[in-house]
Amino acid sequence: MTNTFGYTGKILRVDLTTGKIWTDDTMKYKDFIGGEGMSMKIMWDEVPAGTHPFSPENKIIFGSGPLCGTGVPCSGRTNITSLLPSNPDHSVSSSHMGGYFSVEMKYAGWDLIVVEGKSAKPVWLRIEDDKVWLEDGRWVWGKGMFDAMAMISSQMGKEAQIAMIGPAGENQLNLSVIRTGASHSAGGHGGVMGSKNLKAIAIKGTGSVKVAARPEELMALDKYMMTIIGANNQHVVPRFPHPWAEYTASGSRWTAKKGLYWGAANPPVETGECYPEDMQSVGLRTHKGFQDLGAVAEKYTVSMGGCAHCPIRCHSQVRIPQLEERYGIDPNVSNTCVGYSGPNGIMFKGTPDLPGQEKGEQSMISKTLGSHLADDYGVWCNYGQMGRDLNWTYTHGILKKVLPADEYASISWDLLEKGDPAFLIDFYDRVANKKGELWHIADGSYWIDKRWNLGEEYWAYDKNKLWSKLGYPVHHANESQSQVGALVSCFSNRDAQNHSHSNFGAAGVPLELLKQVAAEEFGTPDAIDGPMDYTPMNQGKANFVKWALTRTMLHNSLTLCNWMWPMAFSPLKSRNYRGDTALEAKFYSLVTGIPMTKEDLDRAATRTFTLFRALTIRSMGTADMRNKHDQTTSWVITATKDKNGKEIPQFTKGTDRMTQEDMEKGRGLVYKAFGWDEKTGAPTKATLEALGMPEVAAELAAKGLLPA
Amino acid sequence: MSDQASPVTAYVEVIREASHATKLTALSELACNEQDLAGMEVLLSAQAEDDIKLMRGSRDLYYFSDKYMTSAYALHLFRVAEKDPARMIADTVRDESRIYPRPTPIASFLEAPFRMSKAALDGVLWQISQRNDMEDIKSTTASDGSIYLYSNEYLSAAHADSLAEWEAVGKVENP
Repeated sequence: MTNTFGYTGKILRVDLTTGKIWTDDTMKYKDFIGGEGMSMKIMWDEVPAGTHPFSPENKIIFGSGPLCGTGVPCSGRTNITSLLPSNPDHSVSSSHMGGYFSVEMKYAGWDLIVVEGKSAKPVWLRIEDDKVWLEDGRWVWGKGMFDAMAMISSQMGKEAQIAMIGPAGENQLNLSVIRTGASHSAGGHGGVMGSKNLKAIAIKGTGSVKVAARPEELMALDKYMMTIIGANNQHVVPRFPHPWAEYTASGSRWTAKKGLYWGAANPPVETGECYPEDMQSVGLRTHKGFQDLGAVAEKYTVSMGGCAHCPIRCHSQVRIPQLEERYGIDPNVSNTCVGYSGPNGIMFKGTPDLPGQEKGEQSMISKTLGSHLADDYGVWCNYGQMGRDLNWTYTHGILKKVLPADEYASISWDLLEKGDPAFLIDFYDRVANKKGELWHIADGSYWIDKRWNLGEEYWAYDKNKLWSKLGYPVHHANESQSQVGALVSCFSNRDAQNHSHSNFGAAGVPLELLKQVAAEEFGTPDAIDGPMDYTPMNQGKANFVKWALTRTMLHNSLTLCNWMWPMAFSPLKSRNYRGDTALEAKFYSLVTGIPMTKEDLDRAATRTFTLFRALTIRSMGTADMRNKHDQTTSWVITATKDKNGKEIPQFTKGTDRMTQEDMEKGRGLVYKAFGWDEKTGAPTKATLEALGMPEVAAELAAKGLLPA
Repeated sequence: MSDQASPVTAYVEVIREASHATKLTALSELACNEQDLAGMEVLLSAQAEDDIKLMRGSRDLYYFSDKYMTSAYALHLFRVAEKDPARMIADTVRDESRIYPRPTPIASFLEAPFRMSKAALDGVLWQISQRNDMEDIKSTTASDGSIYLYSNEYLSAAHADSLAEWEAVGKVENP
C-alpha cells in the first residue's frame, strides 16, 4: 500500500452475495481525486451497461475525499454513487449527505466503501477500524430509521456513525433515501441498499487522517478562509442592516440580527450582529429555524446543527411540543431546507392556521411532521417533485381514475383539503409500505407518466417545474443565472444539485460587483446577468457553465460541501468582496503534499465530468446527447406573460424564459469548452485520450458511441 | 502642549464611542461653541482623524466613525434622524433600485434601524403616493401578498414585478 497523506490509501470492498470482504488500493484511482470521481471510475470499470439498479451486479459506493476528516472547513460530505432507479435509463448518478459518516470512514481507515451483490437475508455492515463483518439485520429490518439507528447504536455505542435506509429503501422505492445522523439524507439510492438486503453501514474509527503539511500551515489556511466564508450557501451579505455591513440582501441566509434568538435554548441564544471575522459567532450567522419554518419557529428553536468540520450550522434543531401532543411523535426534529419543504409540498392545498394558532404555526407543524415521517420511512421527495406530482394527479382526476375505487375512497382526502397535516401520516405509510396503487407516486416522474399516462400537458405545465423528460425537476436552473443555470441543469441524470453557479449569483453583492468577479473568473462581465434581465448566450456564460459543472464535481470528489463551496466572494469590504477560487487547490496541496494549482484540479474535474458523460452515453446507448439527453421541457423555452396577460418576449426585462435557438447555441459552446463534439455533445476520442482515458474511448468506439 | 485633550479631540472620542454603540452623533448633542466647531471643520478637512465622517442634514449635522459603522449603515441612521419618514423610504428605495438593482420590501422598514410601526408605515406609504417629489416611487405586489417599492427611474414595471415575485415567492420555491 502506498504511503499517503489525505487519503487513507484503502478502499473497502464487500460482496454481499458471497460474504467476501477485501481491500483495494485507493491510489490507483488518484487521477479522479476521490469521492464521486473515483466512484465514477469504478462504475465505468465494473458495472456494465444494462445493469438494473436493483440487481446484485449493481454496486453502491460510499465515497469520502482527501480533504474529508482533515479539519478543512465544510468537508463533512459523503458522496454516494450508483445506478439511479428513478432515471429512465438507470444512468449513473450521485446523491450526497452531510453529517459525520465520511469523516468516520476516514478515521476507520477507508476512503471508499464499495458494496456489491445481494445478501440472502437482511444484514448490516459493521466496521470498527479494519475489522469489518456482516451482522444479522433481521431485527432491524422493517423498522423506521429512528428506532433502527437507536438499536444499532445500542450495539456499537453512540460514537458510531450510521448510514441507513428505512422501509422505503427496504421496499425498493425509486424515491428513497439513505440517511445518517438525525437529518442528513441522500436522496435517490435507498432502494439500491434495499435490493441488496443491506439495512445499514455502521462505522467506528479510532484513527486519524495524515496531513502532509505542518499543523500550523493548515491552521493558517483555515484562518485565512475565515476571512472569506459567509453564511449558508456562501451568502456574504446579511439579510438585515448591520453596522459593519455595506450591503443587505433580502433572501440572504445570513439571517442573524439583534433580537433574533434560538428561543428554546436554555438560556436563549441571541444570534446578534455576527461580525464577519469573528470566529466565535460564525455558527450563529444562519438561523435555519427562522429561514425554513418562519418567524413563528424562533421560540421553538433549540440550536443549529450541521456537519463535521463545518462552522456554518445549517440544520435547525427544533422542539415542537404540538407533534407529541397531537400525533404522539418525538417533538425533537432536525432538518434543513427541502427536508422541510419537500414533505410539506404533499400538503399542496395549504395549511391554514387554526383559531388560536400563531401566524404560520400550522405550516411549521406540517413541515416538521412531514420531515419526521420522511426521515423515518426514508422517502425521497425528488427535490419537492413528489408534492407537485401528487397535486397534478389529484387535481386532474388521475388518481381517481387509476386507483381502485375502494383504495381511493379509503384515503382521507378531506384532511388534505382542509390542510390538516395528519394527512401526511396516512400518506407516508401507504407510500413507504407500497400499499395499493398510490405508492407509485414514489416511482419518479418519468415512471409515473409511463404508468398513469399523464400526457404532454403534465410536462409542459410550468408550475410542475419539470426540467427534463428524464423526470427530474428544476434545481437552480433558468431562474438562477439565466443560461448558466439552464445549461448546468441539462447535463444531469437527476436534479442538478449544483450550487456553484447559484451561490455565485446569490452572494448578495450588487450586480456591478458580481460582474467584476465574473469578468475575473470567466473572461467577461457578460457571463452574468441580473435577475430577470437576461441577455442572449455568450462565451462567458459557457465558461461559467463549465466552471460550475466541474467545480461541483470537484467538491463531490474532495469531498467539500457544494452548498458552501466554491468561495468566490468574501463578506469583507477590505477584500473588495473577493473570495479565493484557488482555495480548494491550496488545501489539497497542503493536505496531500501533491502540489496542485486550481487549473490542475479543474482539469482533473474535467476528466471526471467527461467520464460521467461517457457513463451516461453508455447507459443510454446513444452518443446523441444534444437531442436525447440535454433537452428541456417545453415551458422553459416558451414566453411567459406579465400580470396583465401580456406576453414578455425572451431577453427583455421581466422574464427568465429561454429560447430553443439560444439554448442550442449554448449547448454547442459548452460542448466546445469541454472539447466534446459540438454536434452531439459526446466526448471525442481525442479529448478522452488527452484526459488520460484511452480505455473509455476504446469501449465507446467498440459500441459505436464515439462521435464521427 | 497641554496635558488635557482639546475639546475637539474629546468630541472625536465621543463620536467614536457613539458609533461603537451604533449611534450617530448630532452636532447639537456636542454643545460645541463656534471655536470648537471651526476646529471640527479643520479636523475633517485635514483628514487628521480620517475615520470621522460628517453628514449634513436639514435638521442638524451628524458625525460618525467609519471604524465602527459603514457609510451605508450611517446613511440609514441619518435618514431616521432627519425625521422625514417618507423621504427616508423614498431615498432608500431609490438607492436599492439603483445599486443592486432590486425592489424593496416594505416589511424591511419595520426592522432595525428603521423600526417603524405597521400603522406608521401604512400612513407614510399613503403620503408617498401623494407627494409630487416622489412620483417615481411605485409599488408592486407579489402573489403571496408581499408589497415592494421601487423607483421607476431605475426599474421598469415589468422588471420590478418579476423581481418582487422572485424575491417573495421564487426564492422560497427554489431554496
